[in-house]
Amino acid sequence: MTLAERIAALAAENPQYEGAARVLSTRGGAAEAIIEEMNQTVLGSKLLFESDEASLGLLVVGRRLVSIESVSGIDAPADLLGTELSMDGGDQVAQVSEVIKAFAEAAKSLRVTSVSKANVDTADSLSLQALQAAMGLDVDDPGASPLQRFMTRIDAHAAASLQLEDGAVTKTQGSIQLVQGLKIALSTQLSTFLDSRQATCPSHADPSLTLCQDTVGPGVGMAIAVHGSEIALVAFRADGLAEICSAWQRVA
Amino acid sequence: MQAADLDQLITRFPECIIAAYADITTGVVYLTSGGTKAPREALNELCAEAALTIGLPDAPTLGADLCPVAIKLVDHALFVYARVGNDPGDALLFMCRTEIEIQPFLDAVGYLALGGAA
Repeated sequence: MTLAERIAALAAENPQYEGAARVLSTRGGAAEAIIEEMNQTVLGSKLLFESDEASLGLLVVGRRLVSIESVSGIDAPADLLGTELSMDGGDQVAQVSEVIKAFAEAAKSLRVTSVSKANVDTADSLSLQALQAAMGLDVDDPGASPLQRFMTRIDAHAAASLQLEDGAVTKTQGSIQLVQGLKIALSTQLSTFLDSRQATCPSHADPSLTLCQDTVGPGVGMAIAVHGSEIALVAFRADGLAEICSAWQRVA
Repeated sequence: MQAADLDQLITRFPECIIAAYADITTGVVYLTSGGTKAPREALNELCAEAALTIGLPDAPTLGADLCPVAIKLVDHALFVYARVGNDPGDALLFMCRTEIEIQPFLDAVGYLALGGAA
């Protein structure tokens, strides 16, 4: 496809810009478009999604949903608004997914406005994969590598993660503080650890998953997944350990 | 810790192939379960990897804090290393088939590491 053809194709497609708001394509589904917009949001931002009849304001950081800030035109539990969401928060994943679904089903068109929000952390937040699963959306990308599929499956248990390919970081996710901790481990410990292990027990060949409990802090461990040229460093919650192992066995 | 404690664990979890109790700072294996017929080289390798993975008492190898329990999954086996009781240099070492039920096994290992019976 030539550049001119690509520009023409993009012009015929969304997103288009209308003032401060951007129009999102709903051809793949409004719910999918909302999830994708959140998945593109790394720095703290309030995303205001609007249709002609309703609006939904979401506070997002590190590709995770921190809270529902505002809702109009659809029903939502009053105690959910402004509440810091947590994977440990009972049925919050189900409640939030119902709110997003209700908004998406009513949206014939979709606009989004993004406003930066400083100092937003994800100590409590919801993973997008957990929301996708609760909304019945497909979470497994058939073109994804085994390590990417593994990361998708364990997202609910990962407080933060770094993904690397050929030694370069390709994706970061989660709490800023924990990501910093993982970056320190990456720069000061990981190479030595992997090299020493290769020398110590060459018979335990990769792919491999190693989980060290409580090394990041109380109840938060560090996992290292190695598959070919890809490596993931994950700060994981202790209660997800068995499911993380199970996810690895399914994809590796 | 006695060999009978390791035997009891292996009886309860037959997918566990090797169970040992060692001082990972010196590499000395104190005990193995009665059914363990692992060659000395395999035990030495387990001991060395335990020291590397859960870290020696004054030297965490990953993260900022000393690791109480570590797991490693490769295609043919699951390895579990658990620091024992009050001595951060002592550890339980296990090699298991991957079919093992991980959470119940870890619960039993954790209990044993704290001084209980499997």
